[in-house]
Amino acid sequence: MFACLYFPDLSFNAADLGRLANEFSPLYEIPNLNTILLSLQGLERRHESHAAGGEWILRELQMRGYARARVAIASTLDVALFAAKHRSQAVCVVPPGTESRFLAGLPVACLPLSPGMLETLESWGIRNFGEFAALPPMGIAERWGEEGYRLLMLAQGKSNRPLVQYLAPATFEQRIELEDSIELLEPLLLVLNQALVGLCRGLQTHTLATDRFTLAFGLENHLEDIRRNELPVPIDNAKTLLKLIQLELEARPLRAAVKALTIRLRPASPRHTQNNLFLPPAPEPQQLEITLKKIARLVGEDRMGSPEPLDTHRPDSYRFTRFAGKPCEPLPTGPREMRLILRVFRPPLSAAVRMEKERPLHLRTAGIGGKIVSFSGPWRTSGNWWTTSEWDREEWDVCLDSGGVYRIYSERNQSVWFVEGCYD
Amino acid sequence: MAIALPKNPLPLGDRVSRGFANEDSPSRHLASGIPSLDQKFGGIPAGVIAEIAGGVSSGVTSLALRYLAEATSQGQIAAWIDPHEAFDVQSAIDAGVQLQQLLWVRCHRDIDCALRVTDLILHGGGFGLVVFDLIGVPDKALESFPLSCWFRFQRAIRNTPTALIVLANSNQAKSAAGRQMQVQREKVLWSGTDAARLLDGFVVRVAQRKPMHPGFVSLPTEATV
Repeated sequence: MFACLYFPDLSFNAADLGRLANEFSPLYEIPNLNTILLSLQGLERRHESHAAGGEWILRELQMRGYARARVAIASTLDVALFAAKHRSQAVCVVPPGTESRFLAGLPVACLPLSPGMLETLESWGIRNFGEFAALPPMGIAERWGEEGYRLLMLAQGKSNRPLVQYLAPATFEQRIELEDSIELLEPLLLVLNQALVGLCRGLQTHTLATDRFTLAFGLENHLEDIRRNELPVPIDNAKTLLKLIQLELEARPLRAAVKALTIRLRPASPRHTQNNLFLPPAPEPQQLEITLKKIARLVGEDRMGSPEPLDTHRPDSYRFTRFAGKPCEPLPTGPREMRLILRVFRPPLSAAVRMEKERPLHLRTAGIGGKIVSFSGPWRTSGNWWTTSEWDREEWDVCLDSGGVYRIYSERNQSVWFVEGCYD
Repeated sequence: MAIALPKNPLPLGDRVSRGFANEDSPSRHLASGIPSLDQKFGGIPAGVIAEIAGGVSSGVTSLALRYLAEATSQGQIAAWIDPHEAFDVQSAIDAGVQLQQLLWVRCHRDIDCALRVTDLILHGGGFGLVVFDLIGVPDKALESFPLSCWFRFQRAIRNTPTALIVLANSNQAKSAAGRQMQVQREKVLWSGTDAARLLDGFVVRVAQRKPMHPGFVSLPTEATV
C-alpha cells in the first residue's frame, strides 16, 4: 500500500520534503514540491487498519503545523495521488479492488492529457475517468500509442508503476578542526590528502567528479583564507587534486598557521571521452592542468597561454588566453612557402640613428651597430589618436653591413629611435 | 648438456640494442610543407631533438615557424618556450600558425626558468612539437648548460610523438641531437626604387649536418606587406 501526502497551497524545497517524508518512511518519492508518495511497507503492522494509519499520519502532520494537509492511501501510487489531490477529505482510503470505481467520477481533465487529446475526448462526449476507462484499449492504443494506453490504465486505476526513490543531491564537503595549528605545508598536505581521498571515493561512488574545489582555512588570529579553483575538466582523482592544491598553496602561501579547514567539492558529471583515432595525440587534461600550474608558478600566469591578437593595428598587440590543449581536425594544407619573421625586442631597444638627407646612415644600440647598407621606408603608422594610448611613428627596414636586418622606428615629433626587432 | 644454437643467428650488431643511437622513428615525420626541403631532408622525426642553427637574420626563426605552422595545421598541440621573449604573434599568424593550438611561455630572460619549463612540458607529454628558442641568449648563459640536460630532454621524448626543435646561433645539444640543420642567408631581396623600396624577403640556404646529407636547399622567404 502507498500513501500520498498532499499540501495544498504550499511549496517546499525538496530537501525539506525529504526530511518530512523520512519521519514516516525511508521509501518515498517526491513527484512535485507539495506532494510526497510514501511506501507503507512496514508501517501497516503498527495500525489496525489503513484508515487508522492515515489518521495517524494526518495527526502527525497537523502537529507539525500542516493543518490543511491531506492523506490518501491506496494500493497503487497513482490512485493515491489522484485521491489526495482531487478528493477533499483529509484522510481518504481506497480499498484494494475498488480503484476504478473510486476514480470513475473524477473529471477527465485531471489526467495528464495533451491539449489535443483532451479536445478529442471532449468532442467524443467523454467527461470523466469512468467514461474514458470504458473505451476499448486496442482502439486507444491504435490512436494514441503507448501514451494513450498508459492514460487508459491510469483512468482504470490499474497503473502499477514502481516507487522512484528520492535521492537527495549528495554534498561533498568536509570540515576538519585541528587540535594543534599547522604552520608547514607538508603536514597540512597530509591532512588534506586524507580528506580528499574520502571525498573522491564518495564522488566515485556516485559516478561523479568535481569541476571546482573550495578550500576555506580558519587561521590563527581569527583570520580566514578562502581559495577557489575552477578545473578545466572534471576530476575525481585525489592525487591530482592534492597536487593542484599544493601548487596553489606554494604559489600563494597562507598568512598564518591553520587551525581548521573545510574542503568543498562541487560535483559534476565525469568526463567521458573516447579518443579519436584520426586526431593527433594531446596532453592528458589532468596532467596538462598540473603542468600549466607548475609553469605558471615559474613564469607567472600572465606570461603564458595561447596568444590572441587584439583588434588593433598597433604593433605587438596581443593578449594571452587560457591554453586549452585540445587537438583538432587537420586543416587542408598544400605546399607552402616560408614567411619572413620578425623577432621582437621587448621592450624595444633605444637606438641612435644618424640621418643624412632624410636617409638613415648609421645605427647604434646595445649590442648592435653598423653602417646601414640598404633600407626601405619610412612607413608611417598611427592610431588611437583619440585616446591617451596614441602611437604615431615612422618605420624603416634597414640592413647593416654586419648582415643583420632590423626594423627600426622613430616616434614622430619626439626624434627618438628604437629597434623594434630583427628579421630572421 | 648440449645447447642448441639457432641455425642462422643474426649478426651480433643486430641483436644488441644501440643505446645511444638516435634512431628515427619510421612512423611519423614532421614535414615543413615546403616540397623541395621535405624531399631533400625528409622532415623532422618524432621523438628526437632537432637543432636549427644560424646567425643573425639567417632565417632560422622563419624555418622554425614553418614547422610550427605545419604541426598546428595538422591539429597537433605545440609549445614555444621563449627565454628571450622574441616571439612575434603577427609573424606567427602570417606564417600560418594556428594560435589556439599553441602554448607560448615567456620566461623573463631567465634561462634556468626556460630549461625547467621545457623539462615540465616534455615530461608532461602529449605535445606534437616543442620549440626551445635560444637565439639571442648570451653565450655565457649557454655555456652554463649542463650537457646532461639535453640527454634528459632526449630521454623524455624518445619513443613519443613529440619532436623538440632547438633554435640557436650555434649547435648546443651536441650528440643528444638527432637532427642538426644549418641555415644561412644567401641574400636580401629588395624591390622598387629609393622612394618606394620594399623589403621582399631573404633567400636562405638550408643544409643538414646530422645525419650528414650532401648538398643544400635554397629557399625564398617572403616578407608580408
